[in-house]
Amino acid sequence: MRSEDGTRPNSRCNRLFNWLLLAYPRSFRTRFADGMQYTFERQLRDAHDKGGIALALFWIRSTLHALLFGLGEHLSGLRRGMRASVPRTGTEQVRSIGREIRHANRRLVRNPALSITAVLSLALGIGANTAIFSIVHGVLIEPLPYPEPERLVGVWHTDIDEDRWGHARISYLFYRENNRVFENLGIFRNGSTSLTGGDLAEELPATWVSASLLEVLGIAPQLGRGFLEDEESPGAEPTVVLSHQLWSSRFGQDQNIVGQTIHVEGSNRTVVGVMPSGFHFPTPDTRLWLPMEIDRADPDRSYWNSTAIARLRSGVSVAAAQAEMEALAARLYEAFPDRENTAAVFEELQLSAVVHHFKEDVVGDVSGALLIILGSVGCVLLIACANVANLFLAHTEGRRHEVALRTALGASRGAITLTFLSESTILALSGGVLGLALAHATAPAILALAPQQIPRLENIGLNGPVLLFTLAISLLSSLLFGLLPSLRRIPSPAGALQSSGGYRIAGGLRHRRARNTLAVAQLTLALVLMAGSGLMVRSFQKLHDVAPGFESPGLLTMRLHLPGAGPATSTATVAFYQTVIDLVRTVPGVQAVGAASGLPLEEGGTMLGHSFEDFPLAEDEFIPNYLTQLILPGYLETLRIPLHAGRYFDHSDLDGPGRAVIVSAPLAERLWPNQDPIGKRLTPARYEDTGVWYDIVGVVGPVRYESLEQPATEMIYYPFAPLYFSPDTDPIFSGTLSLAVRGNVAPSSLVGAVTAAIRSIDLNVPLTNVRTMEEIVARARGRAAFSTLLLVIAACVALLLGVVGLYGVVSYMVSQSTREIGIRMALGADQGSVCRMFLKQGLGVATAGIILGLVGTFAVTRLLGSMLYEVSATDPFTLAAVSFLLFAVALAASYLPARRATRVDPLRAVGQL
Amino acid sequence: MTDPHDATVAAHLPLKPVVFHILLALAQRTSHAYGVIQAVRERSGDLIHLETGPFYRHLRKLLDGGLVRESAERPPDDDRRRGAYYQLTRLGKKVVTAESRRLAGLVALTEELGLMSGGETT
Repeated sequence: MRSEDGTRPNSRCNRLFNWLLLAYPRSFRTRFADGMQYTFERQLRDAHDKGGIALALFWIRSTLHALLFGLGEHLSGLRRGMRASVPRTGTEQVRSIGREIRHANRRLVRNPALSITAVLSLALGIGANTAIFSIVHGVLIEPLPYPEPERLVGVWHTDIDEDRWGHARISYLFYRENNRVFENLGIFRNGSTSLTGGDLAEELPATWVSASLLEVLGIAPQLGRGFLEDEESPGAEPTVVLSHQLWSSRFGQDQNIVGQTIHVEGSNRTVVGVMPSGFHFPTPDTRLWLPMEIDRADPDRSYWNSTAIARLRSGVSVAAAQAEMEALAARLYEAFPDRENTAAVFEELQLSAVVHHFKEDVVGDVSGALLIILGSVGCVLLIACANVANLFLAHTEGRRHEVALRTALGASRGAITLTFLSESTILALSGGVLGLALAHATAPAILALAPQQIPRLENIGLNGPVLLFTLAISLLSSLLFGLLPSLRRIPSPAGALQSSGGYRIAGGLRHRRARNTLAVAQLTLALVLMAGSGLMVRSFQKLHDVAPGFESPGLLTMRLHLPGAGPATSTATVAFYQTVIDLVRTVPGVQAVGAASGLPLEEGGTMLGHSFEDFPLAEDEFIPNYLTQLILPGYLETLRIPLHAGRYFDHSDLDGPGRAVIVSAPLAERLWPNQDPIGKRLTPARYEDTGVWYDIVGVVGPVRYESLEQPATEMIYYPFAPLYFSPDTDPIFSGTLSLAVRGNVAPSSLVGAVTAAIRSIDLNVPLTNVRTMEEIVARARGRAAFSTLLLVIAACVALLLGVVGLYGVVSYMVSQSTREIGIRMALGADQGSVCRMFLKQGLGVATAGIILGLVGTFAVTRLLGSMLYEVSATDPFTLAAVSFLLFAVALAASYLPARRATRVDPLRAVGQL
Repeated sequence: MTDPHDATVAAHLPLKPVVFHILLALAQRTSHAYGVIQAVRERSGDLIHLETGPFYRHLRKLLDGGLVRESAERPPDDDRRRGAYYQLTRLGKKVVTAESRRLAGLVALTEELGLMSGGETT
């Protein structure tokens, strides 16, 4: 049917415009919808005549107008409402707010089901967020405890492989002298040392620092002073600075400690200072600081393992400092004696410098995992809010008579909104307080599970910013679900005061759409969380299945430290360890004992440059580094690292001119594929000129030395004696060996007997890091386990909340449709079909949630990328499994209320007419 | 004699040009929304293209401010889909007249200064 001006209603565009009109408040639509429709149609036709781009622009403009002006009308409406109901004087305002709160309180108390459920849901969501945020704040947000910490930067080298290098003495001196961007520059290196004297020998974490380092940090010692540059020179008077913790525990806070000597690493050192309590550099474990040896006449250029920190000059940006350091790195060769060759080597390496905030070095790569977890608990809070919103909607549905009455009596829309808001605020704040208590109670448990790799653990607590965060999300939640009922139509007085069934169904339909949407949103979020945690679980499983290359159950480990041992006593050292091994082997229950310079999966490993006879290097080629271990015969057998070719070490390799080495399979396969590596020769690069070569006598199986995620390391094993260097120039190998004891009983039960045996040889030998190999392996899996656990918990809570929401939605549908059910049953529908009707609706919601959830998963799980081991972020098996799980649980949640529908008595239901 | 309405009228001045055009169109004849938009486009020499969203915003404000009201009368060939018809109220007529006078006053000023003829006054 055409109208007189020739327009034929284009129903599709009409419907689209109707959708846009939904942005306007209902009152506006009632007033103007017809005219707006017509006007829009005519203008659409005009734009159509003008052609493609004009038409597109027209649609874009119309959409934007609808959104903007629609919002504007909403706000004007609210403003007009508020203006009508806001009391005039100050005391009136306070009194009216007080009254509102008291009324709201009363209403909530009279409705315990709603209140308790809401408060509990909110407490769960808010508590989880508070707990995680306290960790995020302590680790990531709070600034480092030094003056002007934003000016502290770490300075590193990079190379062509994008590996990060530390500094050698020579680079430190060069940069210090030639830069214009730093106020000061210092270097340090972590390690451990032994403190003896009195009755106790302890091995303590210690840090070697340049004298400038303490100045860079800017914290003054509590007693005495820091180091002087003179003390860095070789042969200077040995000094030491103590930590507050050590000073208290070991020296009883002796005020006269400065100037006294203590026995460190076999020699006397004078205490020159004590740092204040709370000074934890680089970690809270560090007990003392020693001056790094820097020979300014001939600075060392072999060991690039020191970390550099600098303090930027005020006004200098990190980018500027980076540019300067890159330029200086390009000139670094100038400091070397052989400038030309060094320049060529550095150029081939593409040696460069990188500068970034020191905080990034402290925090490391933990931030990614933490932020993912924070996002997950944020989702859980949203789901909890959706649940409460649903509850709230049902609650306000039941109160529409009250609302209609108030409106008829003159209450403005703003006043009614205020009522809902005051109720929601009370619920949210109660949930917030309970959540805070929950977080406080569970935080110690969470932190106990956390692997030690989480830095700055000592900073985490429920402090000011965390409390503010809790308050903020509580208020935000209250806005989220409190405004929801008032955004829905407030029923017109006339309509609501009737109790005709016709009106009731219409009202139910509107609210049903809202509740369904919320339920779909909840299930979507729940699926995303379940998918994420499912992927993490699979990744964790795969990691768990990784064979480390040795047999870890049944092994007890510890570290033995011989203070003051040097190359002159290397024979004595070997003899000592051999004695230890022989004695420990006699302990009942012990099957095998071995000793090595380090154990797999523990922190650190020694890299040493090697030359191979078969692969001579050109002049300027860079010397490859390999993970090198010193071992005593029996070590590889104790760890049950399998032998692939050749033989293990035996005692003849320890003395005499024996030059045997064993290599690991990955190295042999790469360098000599399809050949027999036995008999090939190699040597540490530093020995190349001496003509001393080592023969490969055995090839052993691959070991994941550095971490479980990384592929097996290429390793070279030496027998202990020949490579034992003196500790006075950056010891690669000190007198510390790790002992591995295999028993046919539980390793922890051997601790007492083994330590007693060792002490019977020498009472003063410090024994540290006593733990079972399984603990070490578990620790290596630690970080992944922690994140996985948290995500799984979040996903379970999300699933629970989402499913409860779905149950609520289907129950609501059933309760709203009693008349309809009655009619159907009276007309002959059997119970099964009634049940199926509601089941279908519930499953419809669930399916929508699953599909949207899968879409969301594809978008979101790539964030997990780096944390997943050998599992793709869209692993179909996992996604299918969690979808199925959610569907099954949703089925159950829909079935229960659907079954209730079948128990409706048709006569009574129809009789409500 | 001060008309008590004077203060109310003055409160609406100066009018935004678009609003002025809308009122002018309604002053000429009662019409529906699209009709007003068409009239505004013609009168402004095709310079002012009002679209649905902005137009209704202005209309709502005019209705709330009492310058315009829905008209009970409809033309004989009315199509109900066109929506309501609108007309100026007495206040609306007063306001549009006052604005016209204000604008005329400004034009007189420019004539005095000789800007209209393009030359400078001595």
